[in-house]
Amino acid sequence: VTGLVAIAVGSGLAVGGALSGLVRAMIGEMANEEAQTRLGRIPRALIRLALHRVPVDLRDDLAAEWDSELGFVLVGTEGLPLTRLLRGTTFAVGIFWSAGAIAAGFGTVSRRRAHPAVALALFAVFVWLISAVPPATIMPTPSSPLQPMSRVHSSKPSRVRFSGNCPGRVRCRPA
Amino acid sequence: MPEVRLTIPVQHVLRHFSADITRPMYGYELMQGTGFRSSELYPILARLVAAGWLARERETVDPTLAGRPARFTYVLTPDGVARACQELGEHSARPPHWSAHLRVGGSG
Repeated sequence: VTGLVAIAVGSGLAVGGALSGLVRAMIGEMANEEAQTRLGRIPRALIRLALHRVPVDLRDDLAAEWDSELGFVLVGTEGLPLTRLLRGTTFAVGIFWSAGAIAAGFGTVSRRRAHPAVALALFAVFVWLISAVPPATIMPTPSSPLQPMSRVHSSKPSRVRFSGNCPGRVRCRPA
Repeated sequence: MPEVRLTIPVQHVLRHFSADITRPMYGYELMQGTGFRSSELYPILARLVAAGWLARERETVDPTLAGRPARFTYVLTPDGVARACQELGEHSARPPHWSAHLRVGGSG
């Protein structure tokens, strides 16, 4: 009887240990995936924050530009989450940091001047709380390769005409 | 229109445009070409757009067909070409010979 009990206890412990290991592995994997997803949202979240630093009338326009450019910044980083994070965040941090200068450059005054510490705290909270950021629907997909400019633009602008040859780096069209 | 201070980074961006002055360029493309970060490039582009040197236009693509959103392009305006030519010539040790051949908006 004692031997049977020992076997039962041993089997129970083994099964419990296996289950525990399985659960831990699953939780670890879920945490990893969640962290990856949240970190992947950082660049777009930074751009959203940057948009709050520019006047309202510029926001839609700049949001469209920065979002689309971010998509191209991240091209080629599929399956490389760390590279994707670094490249996207570098681009977005630059945008966030210079949002005031960009607004001023367009001749408007930035609505907010973010103190770095405030901005950092706000950013940390914002990143953790965002869950409603739309998925990366605007990312170029592998099935739709990027188009060269010649295909994108129906006609090349021809506002400037030249005559003669243009030495140096400048390539001009002879009239 | 606001005046543009022709700082060295601004000159660098303009020189990049001058490589092919009729070709519209994307922001990221300019970042790669000039080596500037987004924090450096976009304020310069904004100043040049506000000053009328650059035209900023949205691509005419259908996002659903292209599979991506329309991007924004920057191209030198005729005024921008003339002024860039003049200013870069003044700031360059070697006069840009191509400036002598430039005809803006003319028949050539």
